Amino acid sequence: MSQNVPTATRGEDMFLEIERQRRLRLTRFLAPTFAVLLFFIALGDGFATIINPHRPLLTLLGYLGTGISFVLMVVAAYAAQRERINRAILALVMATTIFIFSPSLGWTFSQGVDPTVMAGMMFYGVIIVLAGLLSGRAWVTVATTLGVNALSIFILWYGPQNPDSSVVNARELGIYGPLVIGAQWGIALILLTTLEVFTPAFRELGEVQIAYQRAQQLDEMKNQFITNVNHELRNPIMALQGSLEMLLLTHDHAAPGRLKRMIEEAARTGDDLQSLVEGILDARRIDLEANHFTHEVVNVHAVLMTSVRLVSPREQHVIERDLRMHVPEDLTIWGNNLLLQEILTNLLSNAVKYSPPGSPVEVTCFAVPTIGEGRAHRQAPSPAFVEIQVRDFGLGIPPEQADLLFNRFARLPRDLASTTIGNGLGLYLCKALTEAMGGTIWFDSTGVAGEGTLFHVRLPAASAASPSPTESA
Amino acid sequence: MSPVSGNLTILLVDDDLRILQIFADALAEIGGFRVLTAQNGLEGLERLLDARPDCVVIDVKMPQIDGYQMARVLRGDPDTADIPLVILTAMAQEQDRFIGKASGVDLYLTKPVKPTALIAAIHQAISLSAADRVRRMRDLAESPGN
Repeated sequence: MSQNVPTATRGEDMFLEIERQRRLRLTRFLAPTFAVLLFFIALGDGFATIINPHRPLLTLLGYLGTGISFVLMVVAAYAAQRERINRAILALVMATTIFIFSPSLGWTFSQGVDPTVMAGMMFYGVIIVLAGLLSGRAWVTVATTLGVNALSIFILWYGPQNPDSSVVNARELGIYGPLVIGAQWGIALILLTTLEVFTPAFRELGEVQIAYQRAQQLDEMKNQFITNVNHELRNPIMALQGSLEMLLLTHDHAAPGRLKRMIEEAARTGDDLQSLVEGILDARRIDLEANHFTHEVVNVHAVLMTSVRLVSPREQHVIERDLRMHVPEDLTIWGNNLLLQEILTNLLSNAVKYSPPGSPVEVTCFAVPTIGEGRAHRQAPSPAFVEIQVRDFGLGIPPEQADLLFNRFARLPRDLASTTIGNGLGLYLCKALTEAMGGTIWFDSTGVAGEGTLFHVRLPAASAASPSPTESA
Repeated sequence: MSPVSGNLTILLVDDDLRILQIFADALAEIGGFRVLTAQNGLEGLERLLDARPDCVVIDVKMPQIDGYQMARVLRGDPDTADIPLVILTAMAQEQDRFIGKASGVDLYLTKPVKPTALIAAIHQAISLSAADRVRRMRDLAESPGN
């Protein structure tokens, strides 16, 4: 599954998502409810047919319509359950239409147009209301109304007359056509006005809701971050103090080798503390400085080699990893040496940290001649890009937790419970830095252990972007 | 330094290997305890099958079975209900303290703790637990049922 995380967090998309959820909820409620109702009506029709099989053929067709709409409604309920929202709405509206029209048609062509048919036409409005509310779009409402108009006119004008009914005379007077169509448009207009009036209100409400959720999320992440940092700090401090007190109390009689080991232990813990504190400060610094750096031509291969060297001492097991590199030595980007180094160091460090010892890590780099799927576009004409991919074969990222991954302070629940040291800042930094250089970052992961994660970093290529030195601000 | 703790056995459970190593050494060398170690709650419970320690020191945040779960298992089993428990945790928020106190452990310590402080706490937990046992037995003896 591909996760394009950056766009998923934009306000407009979140609104659409909320809107989609609303329609989904409505469909999920309506479709099964109607299906159950239709089931009993179809059952009643079936009994009626068994008791009195000498019904006119067209009445039986009306019954058949009920059966078909029941099947369609089940399809709608199933589609809604599987989140196929458009299919579900279409099936639901079709089922309703067939259910409402089939008895009308059956009655019309067996008994003729009479007050029963006219009464049935009152229910045509239900179709308009359903289609309008479920789609939430004006053009669907208008189109459905026109369709319902056409069917009504067809029945009124071309349906056979019921000789006992007064409708015949009224129809001849030309009253019923305008009346029915007028009533249908009345319903459509009320619906359109309602949508027009309430949609902005809903949208505003949705935006407030989004803002509130974001603030809450941020607040929670900050709390989580403080808890994480607290936890991460207390353990090394305790180890450090433990080593030091041991030294203090035992140095006069401990063996020299043992003393050395204790001192080394203390020093290593000190280093860990330092890198933790620096990581926290980095995030703060990058926030302030991400947009103030000099653009230069950067050789990807050279920076990658530096990054590998930087990662190695931090993660002891990286040296034993099978690091597969497919990076042409002449590929260059238009960005900043240090920023790229920070990105690659973080990605490599993550790849090593979150995959089992001994599994390989792959780094691939290639030129992307055009924008591709339109991910990155900062300016026209679009520059060519260089894409760097870092792949591990670890636990992967569960799709449901993917949205939060690039946020500051974000750590997956399973990592919080594990011994893997992290402060939830690495990927946040990667994203901020990549975007500062005019690039994009995203990842693919199935969340299946062993299939790992593939991170993509796409940055402007040097040849295409460098001729505009005014960019370096 | 001479052993001052007789032959007391301590079970130390923590998922941080450095802390486990340093404190196992320190408890043995400075405190004179016999020390068993485990890296998570499950392993800790397995160790309890082999030996009955005189005190268990548990970290809270651990994979699989966490410290509180382990404390509940210990308190729930009549065989181990009387073992003094010291909870050792990096979680220092007010509600964490409350949960810690409420979970039936004898002592609740917040990291960082120095080895000597931990040794003192272990002794305190053992005596608290013993005093508590005596009080409970006296209550039982004086209860109207007898």
